[in-house]
Amino acid sequence: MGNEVIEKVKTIKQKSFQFTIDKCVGCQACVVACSIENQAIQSIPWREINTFNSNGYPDIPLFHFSLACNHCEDAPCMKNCPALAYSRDFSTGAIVHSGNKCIGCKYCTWACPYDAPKFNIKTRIIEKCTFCNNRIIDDLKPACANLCPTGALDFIDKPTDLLHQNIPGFTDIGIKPSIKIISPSKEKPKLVVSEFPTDIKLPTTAKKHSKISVTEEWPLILFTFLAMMLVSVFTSSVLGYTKPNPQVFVLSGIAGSVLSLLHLGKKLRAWRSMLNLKNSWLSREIFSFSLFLGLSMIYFFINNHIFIGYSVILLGVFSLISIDKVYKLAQQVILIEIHSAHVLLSFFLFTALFSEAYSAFIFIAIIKVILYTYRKIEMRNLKKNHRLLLSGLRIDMLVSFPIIFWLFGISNIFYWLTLSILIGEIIDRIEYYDELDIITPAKQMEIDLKMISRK
Amino acid sequence: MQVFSTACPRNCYSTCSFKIHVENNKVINIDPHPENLATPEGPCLKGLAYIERANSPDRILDPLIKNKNTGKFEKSDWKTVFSILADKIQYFKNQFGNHSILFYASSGMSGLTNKFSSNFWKMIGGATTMYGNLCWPAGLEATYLTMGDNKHNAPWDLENAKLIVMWGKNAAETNIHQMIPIDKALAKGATMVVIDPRRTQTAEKASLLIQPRPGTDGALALGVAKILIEQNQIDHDFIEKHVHGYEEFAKSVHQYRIADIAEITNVGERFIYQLADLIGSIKPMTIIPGFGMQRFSNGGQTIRCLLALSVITGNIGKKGACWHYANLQSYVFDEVKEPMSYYPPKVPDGIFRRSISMAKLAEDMNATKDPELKMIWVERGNPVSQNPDTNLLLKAIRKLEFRVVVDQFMTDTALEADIILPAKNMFEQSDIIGSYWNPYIQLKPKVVEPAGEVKPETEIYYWLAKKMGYPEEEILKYLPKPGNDAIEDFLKEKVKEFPELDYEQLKKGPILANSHEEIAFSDLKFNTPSGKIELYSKQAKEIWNVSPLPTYVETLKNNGNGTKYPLDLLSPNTKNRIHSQFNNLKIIKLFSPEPFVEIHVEDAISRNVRDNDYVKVFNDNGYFILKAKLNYCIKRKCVSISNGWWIQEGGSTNFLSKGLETDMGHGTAFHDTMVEIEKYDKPITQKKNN
Repeated sequence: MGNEVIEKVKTIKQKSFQFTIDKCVGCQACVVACSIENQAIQSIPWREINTFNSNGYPDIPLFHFSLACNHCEDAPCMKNCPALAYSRDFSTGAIVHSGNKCIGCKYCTWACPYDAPKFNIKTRIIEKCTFCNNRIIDDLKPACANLCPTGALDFIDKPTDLLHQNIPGFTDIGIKPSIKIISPSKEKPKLVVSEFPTDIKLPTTAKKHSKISVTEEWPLILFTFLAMMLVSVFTSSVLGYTKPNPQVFVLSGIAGSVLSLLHLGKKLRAWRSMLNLKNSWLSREIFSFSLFLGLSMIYFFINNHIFIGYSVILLGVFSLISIDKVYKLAQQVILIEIHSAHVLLSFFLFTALFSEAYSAFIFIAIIKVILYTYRKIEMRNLKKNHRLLLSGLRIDMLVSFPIIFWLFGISNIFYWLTLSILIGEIIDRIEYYDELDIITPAKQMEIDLKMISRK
Repeated sequence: MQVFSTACPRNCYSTCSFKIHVENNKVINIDPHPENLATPEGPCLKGLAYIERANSPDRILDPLIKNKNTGKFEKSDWKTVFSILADKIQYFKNQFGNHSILFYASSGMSGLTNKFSSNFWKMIGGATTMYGNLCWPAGLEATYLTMGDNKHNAPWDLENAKLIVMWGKNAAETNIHQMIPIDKALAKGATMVVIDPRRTQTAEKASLLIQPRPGTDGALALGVAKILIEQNQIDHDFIEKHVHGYEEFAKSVHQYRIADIAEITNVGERFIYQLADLIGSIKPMTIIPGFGMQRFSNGGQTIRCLLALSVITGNIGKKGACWHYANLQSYVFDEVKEPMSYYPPKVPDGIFRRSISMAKLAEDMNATKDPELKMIWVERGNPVSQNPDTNLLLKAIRKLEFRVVVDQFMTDTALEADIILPAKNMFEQSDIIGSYWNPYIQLKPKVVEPAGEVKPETEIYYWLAKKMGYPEEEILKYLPKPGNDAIEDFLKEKVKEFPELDYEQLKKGPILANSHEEIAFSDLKFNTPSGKIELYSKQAKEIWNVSPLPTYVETLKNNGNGTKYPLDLLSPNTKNRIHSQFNNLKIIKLFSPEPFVEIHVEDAISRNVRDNDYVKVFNDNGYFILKAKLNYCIKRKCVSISNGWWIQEGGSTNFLSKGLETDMGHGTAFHDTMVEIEKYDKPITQKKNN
């Protein structure tokens, strides 16, 4: 940087978008402006307009949000990025993404409630709004704000008291986005319409796209499940109950890790995924599982000191906790702290089973059944698809089948039990993924519209 | 990098000024031009899309000749093409006479240089051309008959209005910059009423939305007038001094019953009273009528009815009070102003045969005799998608022996051509434009060299004339020399006629037209036979054979063969296009990937149609298959498809329309179109651009 630029940077204040809801007519000029400014580096639009009440339900206003990256003070993309690909430009407040550091894990697309990080399917990495940082340095507004034809989108010195609560259609999770939203005046009269009202509801259409889907995330489902099984087997073997074949154990661990790499955009940069131990549960997961695997090799092949054994267990459990924490970013259909398909719970279940601690096993199984049933009932109440048949099967796998095996004194009962429970757990795990969703501006609008139309 | 001041030459209210960045003979970016007080924040998405449009890989950059055997277009060169064109034109001229050639030009690009195209045809002895217009003449004529001129207050004066009546105009999409003064007015406590069969984006700003049955706005206005008169909420002083025919008008509206109006318009009585109460009690009022209502067979009379409300309440010629239809104050260079320029000549000049109605192009082309049409030359237009009755028009065009289309892109009309000539874009030749909304004269300079083999139309004609053997001095009587210098000289010469205008100043930005009145008609002088505002117009009767008073006449609900269809088809404009331009660009396609029909949830359910189902929209004229979008915004028994889709993009609304003139002004009654909709279950094969 030349001295001149440094001088300029010094004088720049922290900046913020300003969006006046009433002035926006959803014209898309900001999106076009952004695409012109960034044509060399943009593969899909970074800025998007979402419409609240786009079907025009009577008595509810119809309005838009034009959003790109809000360059939040507590940016969750930056916090959760395992590869430290995000940084903050302290002169402008911009959250900057470095493509050459990105591993394409898409975890930031889960972390951001504004759908700002976009995955470029050609380069296999993330790209996003730059705040037009280069323009700010030249004292220009970002292209989108510069070219908004109605003045709805503007760019201002960042106010100290930005509030984002209770704005219908806008997600507020307390991450301090750099956007001042001016809501319509309270005195704005309600629109009276001469057409008579209707009772007919718009038929609901096909399932909306979710950022976490079973078909796309199956390598992760397999990996997390495998990790849980390995930790369970290892624990019960240290406790002296199982005798896993070390080669099979290590090979499946490696296979699982390779599987988890499959979804990375940049597989050769996988090592970067452990750089953010300080903040990212994803880094912690990968780091602790790698250590778990490495140390288990030492335990199996070099020195099976009990201290190493317990260390491996601790690392394994920590990696399972991390796995569950990774998904805390996603929304569940039903808001619950502990999900019946959490790997930590499954770990306890299988460890108890493998270690023949049957009372503990029954206790955990009961907890799981309660959690599962409660969730399904809640889903039914919310008119979500609760998959009655599958749910029945899943509970059978955990409850009725084991009881039947036991009552009829089936031979090789341990294997049958394990198989039945395994199938049940897999069903639950798949359902868990299926029920996860990431909030986006469009989804927030749908949720808030439902709330308003119910009133 | 260089920065130039320029202006958008599309057929659009806003006529934005903007600054264009040019680097290495390429337009690369756009900035707002705050000196244009009507468009200070910059152009709309289409204006911004010029960056793609100017550099689009889909642009036609060479003369193309259709291979008769394969039907495909093949690259050619100007030498070959000029020689074919010269031969063909000579042949038709000698064999059948000049009038066997139809010269079709439309509103694709405005500017003073457009006149050179007709100059060429004049030079070679003439051609057949059209009268009338696809857009707005019924309303222009109605306003002209009533007030003697088409002008309104400056766009920014709207912020002084206390009542804004947006009657059939969706400015949020078609004149986005008008939303700025509307916001300012509302912030100062103004009230806005929107009258539209659709709950539009503009309606979101209003406190009252009245949704009349399409084509019945005249009846609604007369009902309101009756209430205003009976409740004595009119401006007696203004009427006495400035209005001609009030007594007759009052007598005529007295006969209407509000209950009947409610029935005709399908608007509840209490809303008619509510509208009348607002109009009667809040001053100043600006009525902003859109162009859609006058594209009915009763369009001119409808506009006269609406305008009567501004007149009897005295909302003319004051701050915040005007009839905001068209502002031709910047049309200072026109020899014959609209709407008169649309009339067929009373006495033919022997050069141009203006015998074909723009509205009835297809029908008239087929019917034209002595001589029959043999050749068409199309520029600045896409009649296949934009003129009524696409099926009949395609037949008429295909019947001709030779077709030439000048265009930048492979439009539906271009696909019909035997020869396509690559047209200039707005950055490749200088020109001067006015606006029908803001009062500025603007220069749109040449900022880049024409791409590829592109030649501006003036140069195409020049070289064609050369090829046809016209001597240089003869040609220069009609056409400028090739090169932009000659164009600049021509423009400078034009500007010289007006001392207020200065060419160097125009290079920097927009200049207010010399005739500009901030508040139109503030002198209360009206260029009508009586010198007053004419509610009673003898001319209306004499010229157009309509009632001398504003009256409500049923629309024809034309279906082709008189069959009854239940749904009114609206074909409004969208923010994504100017008529049929822009939607071929990738950035616009992102927001507007394919045609859809808007239908009320109730009407859809009763036809077993769900959201995003494909449906067939049809009547006796033709059909159109497209997606259905269900909503609660559109009035029941109405459906809406934005006009301007290319057939290659999925279809054109004009498969459904019939060539029909409006009651006055020789406009086009697109909206007298009724249709039915049914679910379409067959697989859809989307045609791709070739």
